[in-house]
Amino acid sequence: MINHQILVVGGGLAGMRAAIEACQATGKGGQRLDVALLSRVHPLRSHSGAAQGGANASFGNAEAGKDDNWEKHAFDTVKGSDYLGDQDSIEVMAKEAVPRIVELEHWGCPFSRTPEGKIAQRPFGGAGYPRTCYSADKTGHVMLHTLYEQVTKRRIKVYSEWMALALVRSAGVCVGLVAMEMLSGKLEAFRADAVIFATGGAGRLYQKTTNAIINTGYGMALAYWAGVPLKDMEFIQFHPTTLYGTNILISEAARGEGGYLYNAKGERFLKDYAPSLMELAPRDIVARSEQIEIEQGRGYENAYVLLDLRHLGREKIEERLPGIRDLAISYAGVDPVEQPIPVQPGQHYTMGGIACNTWGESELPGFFAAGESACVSIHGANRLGGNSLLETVVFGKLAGERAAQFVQSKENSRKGEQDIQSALAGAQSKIEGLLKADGTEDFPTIRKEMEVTMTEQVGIFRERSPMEKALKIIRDLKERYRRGCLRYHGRSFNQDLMRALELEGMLDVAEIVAMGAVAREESRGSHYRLDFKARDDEKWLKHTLARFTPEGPRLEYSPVTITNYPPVERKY
Amino acid sequence: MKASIKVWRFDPDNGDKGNLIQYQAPYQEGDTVLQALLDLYEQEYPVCFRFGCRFKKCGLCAVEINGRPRLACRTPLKDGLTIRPLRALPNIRDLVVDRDPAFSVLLPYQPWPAIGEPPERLPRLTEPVEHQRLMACNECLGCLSTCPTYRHDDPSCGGPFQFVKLAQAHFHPLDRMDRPAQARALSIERCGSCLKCRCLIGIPIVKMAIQPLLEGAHQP
Ligand SMILES: Cc1cc2nc3c(=O)[nH]c(=O)nc-3n(C[C@H](O)[C@H](O)[C@H](O)COP(=O)(O)OP(=O)(O)OC[C@H]3O[C@@H](n4cnc5c(N)ncnc54)[C@H](O)[C@@H]3O)c2cc1C
Repeated sequence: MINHQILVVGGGLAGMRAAIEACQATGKGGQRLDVALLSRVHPLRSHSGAAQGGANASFGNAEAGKDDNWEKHAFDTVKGSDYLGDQDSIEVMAKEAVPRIVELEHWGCPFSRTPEGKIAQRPFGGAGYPRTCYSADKTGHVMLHTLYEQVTKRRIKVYSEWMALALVRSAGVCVGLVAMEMLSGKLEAFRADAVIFATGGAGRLYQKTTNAIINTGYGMALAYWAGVPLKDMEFIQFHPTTLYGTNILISEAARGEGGYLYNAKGERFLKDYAPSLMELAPRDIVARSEQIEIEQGRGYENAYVLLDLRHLGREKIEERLPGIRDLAISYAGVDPVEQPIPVQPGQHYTMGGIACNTWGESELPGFFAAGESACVSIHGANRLGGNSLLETVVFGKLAGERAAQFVQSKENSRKGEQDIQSALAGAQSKIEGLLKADGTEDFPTIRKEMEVTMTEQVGIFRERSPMEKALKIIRDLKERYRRGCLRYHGRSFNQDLMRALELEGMLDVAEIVAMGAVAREESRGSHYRLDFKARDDEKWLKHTLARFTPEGPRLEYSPVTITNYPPVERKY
Repeated sequence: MKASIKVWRFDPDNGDKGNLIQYQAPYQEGDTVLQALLDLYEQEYPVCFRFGCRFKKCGLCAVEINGRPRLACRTPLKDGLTIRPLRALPNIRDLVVDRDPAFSVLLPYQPWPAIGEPPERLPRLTEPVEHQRLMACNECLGCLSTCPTYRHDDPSCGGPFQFVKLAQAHFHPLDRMDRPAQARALSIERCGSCLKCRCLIGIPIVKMAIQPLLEGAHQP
């Protein structure tokens, strides 16, 4: 059994920021805490690296942003969340934004600059001021490198290409986990006084998504199986500008820098939906408007609209959006300097996640969560662009800090070793079962059916009866999963096995998304019900919690924290 | 439509030496090699390969296509392609290579900007254009397969990837280490007469990494 005081799962921005913070703390004897990080891909390969647009912080460095401050950032976030975000946590995020970005700068993160050498800021959707700090259009990439350098410098032990398979609780506290070394296929038990999950989003529940193929939400499933509830999972963000066909993201930065959206009649159609903010309205509104235009026949080929950047001019496009230009050329054969880009909405972000508070504490003592896999909740029913990169560093730090406090008060005990051993045996026999199974069902087919069902029935526009059908399909798929069969039976780097294991989690998470969406009879943020078009604060100003039971998920609800911003109608 | 491709299959667990398998990949205009591999994985043979973002960012899907390193996610699929693992690194299974040696050789050199204690207020910074370009490196390690002399098992022999990493630090406005000296410890002199290396996403390695490190002037 491998022993660490704190084990962080996930090598993206949130996980690395948590590990950095935790390893700065000292234990009882004055020595640094023993912190390790475990990740299914090398930390630098995490999907955080794909983020293009930037991270919000109310520096007020741009001329048009002079009057910005943290309160305005907090208010924009609350309103963007359609009042479902917890306002105390949102205030913490808005206040911590500036110090966290400055800290990254001190660690050498090359943010783009204004002519006077200050950190440059660009406008983003749903924000009153240019507030988004960026590094051209590779912000996530440079942030990830900066944090990885800090991790290496601090000699934090990294288990790279290890996949967590089970979270272990013993006598009501979290005591460790079971993980597989992918290269050898070997299972290993890990004992830890605190575990932090920063395992990223669940975009791959959907067929049309901007997310990496590895964003499967498996960490959420592991937490759920260990009895930790998932919060607000029905809130799935659809991004308005993903490349037609491949759904590769064209960052909101393209509209932040001044891009326009046109329907097939040549109209900037947002004038009919969000006349004051136009293209820079929040994503839920822009994505829905686009979908309506397409469904009512004002799109191209009944599938896409056009994002036009030509009026920005070659120079600005090359300077500020070179990566976006390159993606459009490589994957749509369109040079945005000369032609508009065909775009359509696609799944982009999982607002919900492992239920936790501002400090990442879940209801299971010793178990913490941060980043996209967590639901603090900052984003409520709709995330604002640029708040997620920020969330990873703000709440990654807080989770690391709180986990360190939690273990500082303890001897590095050997509690729970027996339960960890039996979890190891359980994982072993599950895998052996899968390797031996000679069922008739094919896992990739099951996965595809799930993706299509979620995209078509639990997508941008939702309604009771199609969603109930989707739920039934997903439950059938869960049945079929049990008769599934692997095609590769070796141990080393058995992706067939890993993807099959993940699929089990994805089916459960998909079921939770659909159940939450059927139950929530209102429209709020990204959750839009054709049969309940209005927001209903009286009945539904509350968080959904999905809790594991052997019979399937049980839904519970918890109150939303309101501090300074009483809910009012959300108009842009 | 179908595209006929050959893919390297290698399963050391079963004691075999590896061979090429044929696959008729379904093919549509605009499809990439990555899609064909995913398809092969789903339909016929559970081929083992790394993948992540599918749009050039994560650098995981670098393989050799018809003898040249490429990102599978941005290489158009066509008839007659042969797909093999990167030759510069040890093959583990099918298209998967051991990426570790490429990174571990750098560890003694602190391949991050050596800033020391940051001053209370940072000076207003400008980022040199070389740093901007070099930071686009997605660490796919494909460039190592274009280097005629890189050896993953020789700690005194760096390759283009390692020099890009050192050059990133070299051009960081706050870095205080002598990166050219480190590059010499990784035998950069042998690059002087070669310059065959290529970057899969177009970073000018020779101009922005090799030459500045060879010329040796330590940037202030
Ligand atoms: C294309 C794209 C562009 C974006 N642009 C922006 C933007 O401009 N601004 C913004 O604010 N947000 C943006 N976002 C959102 C933002 O990038 C993500 O929400 C954020 O980076 C998530 O970080 P994370 O650390 O939580 O997770 P990730 O970076 O996804 O990392 C998850 C980690 O968990 C590991 N992991 C997962 N499961 C396991 C397991 N079972 N065992 C071991 N390890 C595991 C993975 O290996 C990975 O290292 C964008 C998202 C996408 C998809």
